[in-house]
Amino acid sequence: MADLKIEKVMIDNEEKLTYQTAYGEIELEEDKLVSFSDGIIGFSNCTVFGLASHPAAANSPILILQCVNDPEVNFAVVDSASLNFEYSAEDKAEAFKSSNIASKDAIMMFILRTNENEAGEKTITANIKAPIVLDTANKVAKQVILNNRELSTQFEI
Amino acid sequence: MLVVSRKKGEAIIINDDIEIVVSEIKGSQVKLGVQTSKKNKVYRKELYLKIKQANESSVNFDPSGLGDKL
Repeated sequence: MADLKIEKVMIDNEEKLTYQTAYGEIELEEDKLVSFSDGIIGFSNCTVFGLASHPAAANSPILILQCVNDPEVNFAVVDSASLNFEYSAEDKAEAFKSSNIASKDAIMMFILRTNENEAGEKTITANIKAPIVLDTANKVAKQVILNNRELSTQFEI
Repeated sequence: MLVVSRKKGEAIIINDDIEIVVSEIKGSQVKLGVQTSKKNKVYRKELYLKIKQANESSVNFDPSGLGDKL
């Protein structure tokens, strides 16, 4: 009987991985959460995140990186593969080396932010200077800072 | 803040696993060597602050008004 009760509680917890965000309601799958052992730079307490697609635009390449430690924190991110941007071999090697993640399982993601251009229109830029290296097999990730001075924190996409 | 005088070639140790050595002094510039385990990330402070600030202005991205850019 006691075991059954525990099972019920766990199901309830799973259902609670629902977050209200600026994009609408998003849901995270508990078994797909990603561990950021160092947190995001400036957000060292944010060590567990989940990725969700945009609830109102399923085809959008923009994903929502929702912090589990602090429900108020989320980032919009994009897989580098979906942008017209390619790192040099040296930059890539440096990213894998400083994240300690083997390249075969890794994808790179960029944190996005919005800006306004001179015409007052909103634009989106990607931080290619400090990508997130995500090991999809082991569900661990790190944000790394690359040395290359040509890389911008605000790369227009 | 702890302030320690060091000559060229001298070092300080922090927490058993971080060694910072003064490797060169030239006018107003010093070169520091940092020896530490991989888990300690070492950045130039201004770069670290730039990334921290970039992350802080990216948190809770506001998708309104972006229309088909999403």
